[in-house]
Amino acid sequence: MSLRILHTADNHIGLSFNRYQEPAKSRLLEERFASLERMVATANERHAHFIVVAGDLFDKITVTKAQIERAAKILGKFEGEAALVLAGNHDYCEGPDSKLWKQFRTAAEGSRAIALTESATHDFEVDEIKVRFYASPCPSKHGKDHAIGWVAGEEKPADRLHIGIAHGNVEGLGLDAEQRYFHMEDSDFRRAGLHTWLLGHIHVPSPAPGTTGTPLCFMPGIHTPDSVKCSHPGHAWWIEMEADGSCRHEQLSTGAIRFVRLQPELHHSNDILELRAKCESLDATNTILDLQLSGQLRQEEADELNAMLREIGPSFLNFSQERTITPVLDAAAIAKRFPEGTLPSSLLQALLADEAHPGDAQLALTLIETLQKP
Amino acid sequence: MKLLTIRLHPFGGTADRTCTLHDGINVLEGPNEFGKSTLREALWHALFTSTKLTPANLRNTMGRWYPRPGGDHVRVSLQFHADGKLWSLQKSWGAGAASSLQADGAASIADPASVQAELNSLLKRNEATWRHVLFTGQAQLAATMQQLSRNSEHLDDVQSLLAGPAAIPGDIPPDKLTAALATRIQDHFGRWDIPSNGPEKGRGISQPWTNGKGPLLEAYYAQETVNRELTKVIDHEKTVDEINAQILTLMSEISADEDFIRTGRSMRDGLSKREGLEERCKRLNAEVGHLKTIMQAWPGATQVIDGKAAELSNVKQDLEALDAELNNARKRKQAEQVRLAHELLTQAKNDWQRAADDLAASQALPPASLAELARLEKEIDSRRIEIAAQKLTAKLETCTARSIQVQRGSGEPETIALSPSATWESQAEGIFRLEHEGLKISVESGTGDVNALFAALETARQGQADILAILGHESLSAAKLAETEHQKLSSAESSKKGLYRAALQGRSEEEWAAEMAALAELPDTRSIEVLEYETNTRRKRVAALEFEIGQEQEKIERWTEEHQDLESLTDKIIAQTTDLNQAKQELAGLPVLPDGFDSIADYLNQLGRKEAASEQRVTNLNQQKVEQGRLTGIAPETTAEELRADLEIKRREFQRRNSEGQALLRIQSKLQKLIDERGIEDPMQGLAAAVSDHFRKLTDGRYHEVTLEGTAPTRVGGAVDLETEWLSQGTLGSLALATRLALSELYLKDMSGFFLLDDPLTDMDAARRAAAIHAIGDFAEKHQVLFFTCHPAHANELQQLAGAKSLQMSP
Repeated sequence: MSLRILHTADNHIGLSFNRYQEPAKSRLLEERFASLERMVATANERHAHFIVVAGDLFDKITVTKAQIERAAKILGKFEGEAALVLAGNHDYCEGPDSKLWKQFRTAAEGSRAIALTESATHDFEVDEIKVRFYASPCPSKHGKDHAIGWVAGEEKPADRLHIGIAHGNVEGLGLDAEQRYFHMEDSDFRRAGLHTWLLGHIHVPSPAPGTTGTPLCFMPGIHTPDSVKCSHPGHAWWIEMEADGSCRHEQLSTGAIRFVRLQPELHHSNDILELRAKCESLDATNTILDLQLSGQLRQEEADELNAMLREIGPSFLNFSQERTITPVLDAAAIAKRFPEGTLPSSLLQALLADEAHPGDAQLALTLIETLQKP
Repeated sequence: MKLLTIRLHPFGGTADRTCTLHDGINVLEGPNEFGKSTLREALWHALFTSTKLTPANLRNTMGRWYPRPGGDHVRVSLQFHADGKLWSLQKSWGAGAASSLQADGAASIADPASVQAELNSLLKRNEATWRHVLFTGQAQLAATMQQLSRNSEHLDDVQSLLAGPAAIPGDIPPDKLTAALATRIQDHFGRWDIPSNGPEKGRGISQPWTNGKGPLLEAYYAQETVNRELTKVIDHEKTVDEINAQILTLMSEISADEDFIRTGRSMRDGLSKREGLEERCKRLNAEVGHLKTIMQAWPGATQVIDGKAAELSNVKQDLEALDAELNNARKRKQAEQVRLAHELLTQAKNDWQRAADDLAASQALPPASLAELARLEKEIDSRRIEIAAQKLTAKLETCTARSIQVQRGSGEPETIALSPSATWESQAEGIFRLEHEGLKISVESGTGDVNALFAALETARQGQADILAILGHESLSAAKLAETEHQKLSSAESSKKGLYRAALQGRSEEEWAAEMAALAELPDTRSIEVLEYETNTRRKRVAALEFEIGQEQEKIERWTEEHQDLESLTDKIIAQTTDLNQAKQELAGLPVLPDGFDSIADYLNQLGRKEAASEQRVTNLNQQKVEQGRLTGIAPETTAEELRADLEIKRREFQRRNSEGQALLRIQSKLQKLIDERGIEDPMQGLAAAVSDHFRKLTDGRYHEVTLEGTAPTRVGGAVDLETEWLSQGTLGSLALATRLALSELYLKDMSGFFLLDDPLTDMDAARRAAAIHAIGDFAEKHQVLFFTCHPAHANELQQLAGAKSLQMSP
């Protein structure tokens, strides 16, 4: 028999998504819960012994009571031994009187959801496997020192598995130049002397897919994307650990919404067709699409692009774009529009000659066109 | 470029038709829908539209010319002369799109871009020039004239209408472009200080401008608003972190002391009692111990005094013996010095006796003899000096070797050897005598009585010798030495005698002898140092014993006074021991002092301090929790992460606006430079004169001067001087044609090219039309003209007045 754990983190329930219009906003808010619900269902189907939420189940300590209760209710549906919920740096536990965690405990009363808000060990025995979890919660949003130092000094009986649960930046996985987010390094994990660590904080999964053996630590990444910075579909780890500490792990895709930012450089019709193909390959109704378009297009190509975006944009859950596309304006284009010797022709030619500022000529053209309108 | 044929196969409604063109004016006359526009468009696209188009572009540009119904392509073929060659051009758009351009006898070009590039080269002028000056303008002219006619009552800006038909479409007067750009810059940088690259007067979002803001400042304010909000959120997060950290620290500190305080409080009373009891036990222990000591010491105290008194007596006896021995030792030390003095006395006496004996053995010389010897010595020296002063030199020569006797001065006679080979030479004092074989020669100094001197000298010497003989000395120096020696012995004897008297030290030799005899009787002793040490030790011991005896006596007196007797003392010890045991029993039931403390007082002090600190911490903790609750209550709705994402967008927008502003400034700079340069080398130079010339002909001399702004006429001068807005429609038409003809001439100059006019005479009366036709005819002498009209009369007039030919179309 092996110990079965579904490991998630950084669920950020309570993210406001204020930048998005309805219905995308509501859909994004709902997805935080829906994805959590799917994970619990998966854990039940696979008969997991534990769900471990390694911090940031909530986006902030001021999430609403309704959101807390709903999250607790979802985790309460877990049928395994326990759903262990660690306080991360977003939903940190500032002390025994923490409103968030008091409300969570109240909401989770009678269920298998356990809030890990103090640095302490938690012993379990399931299917004749003994396991000791070392919970290392965050006491604040920022922390210069990590919270796992105490683990090294703990007694570690040989008859059980020893698994750490912590939240913070990990050297080599995330960027924390000022080390303000409970920064941890491999040496810290090794010093602790556990079989492995289940972590949260960094929104990108680790170890890399295909890795075998027992990693020093697991980072599941966010469970469903929350911004264009998240390029993956949302992940959780499925971990099966033998009594001797060896383990098998599997990456689960858990999100239903994708944030996609495309940054193509458009220079001719083929680029527009290629962009269209890319957009059409996306699951539009479940995709927040953000286009950052750059390049140079002729007027007819720009018209073509506009038509394409007008057509496909509304099909996406949310569609936004930023453009730094300049119309193709070269000597030939100027020759098409302005007779030789005219002031616009001379000005535009002079501006075109300034290669350091290729957009100047186009800006001048816009101004000239404004003046030419009857 | 001169057009020869144009074939549409198909294009628009034309399935296949070829038009043949001539030099001069080619007139295509027909009603509307006749196909003039189709022909013009076909010609235009053949010359300027690439056959490589995007689907959308193809649809928008050429789609309308597909044959209906079901047409999927259009094609135009063209023949023309250019650069001295005959060229064939064919272009197809849509299905089977292709381009082909071939010069007579040369290879065909098929690449659409290459075809277009070659065509552009042959056309000499750019596409816009062809479009706006040489190709379509007159159709616009007609339309504009009609519009002018319809709206003349309420159109207040004829200039804007004229700018299209009369001037070069697309051109803008410098002042207008400059002003528009300045306005745009002013709007863009509204309330923005360009030199400092910030809001005017430094008014940031804390004191923002409300009126006159440009898009740059708007973007800046938007960025700074988000930035300010982000800063607030970050500050809030930091404050919350700090409060949380303080709370955790306080809780940790409270927790750390919690056990100590709880335990301490439970032990406080017991420990306080223990402190008193321990003090009492300590005191009782000391007292019992003290009494027991007295108990043990009291009986033996008298014996101690006796023992010490006996020892004191012995020590004192020892001390007396030691004092006597020490006295003798000191005398012996003193006798040693006397003995040494006596030895010195004996030695001095012996020395004096020897000196006296030596003196007695020495003979003293009589002083008179010594004086006479001294006088004679002086006289001898005087005579010798006088004789030495009378010096003679003798030179002796001989023929044979011989020895002779000579005497020099007072010296003794001497024998010398003479030789023939050498002259003997010598000096003598006063007299020189020679004697040889009975010959005596005496030579004396002639300055005085030498012999007397010699006699006196001899007398003195003899006197001296006589005295010395009497004294028993061989020589004067020996006598002097003997006298000196005698004086020394006398002095030594006197000195030794003095030393002897000093050694007596004022006493007689008998007294010395008596003392020496007494000293020989003193007994032997140890050294003074040993005896002094022994004496001091005994004396100290005496003092100590006397003190100890005194103390013991005092103790007995005190004990008696305090405890009366031994029995009473025993009762006291029993009572105190009972109290001590009771206190010890009571202590056994009380809490003990925890480890790490020197005393119960230290422990209780620390407990007190920790209690006070803990109470203060609890107070602080409560305050911090209130603050924590307050901060949680005012937590921003938006998180720092969300604001950072928003700020990124706002920053990009501000940067974009800033770049745009900089671009506008660069454009303004380049425009101004361009305008300044154009003043020197205006490409439109001569245009005003050419327009004036054409307008003069077209108005039959009524106007002869036209003023341009850019390429647009603004005033005319002649019989009357008018702004163009006051011209009649017919005159405006003439002005437009004049301008267009002048522009065409300016652009075409001497190059081969054609000029397309589309019904330019519509609004002219007969006189103006005739003048116009003549002007067009003059133009056609240099350049090919395509004249499209729907007025048969205009076509006829062109043919009659300007030799125009009809465009031949087949089939």
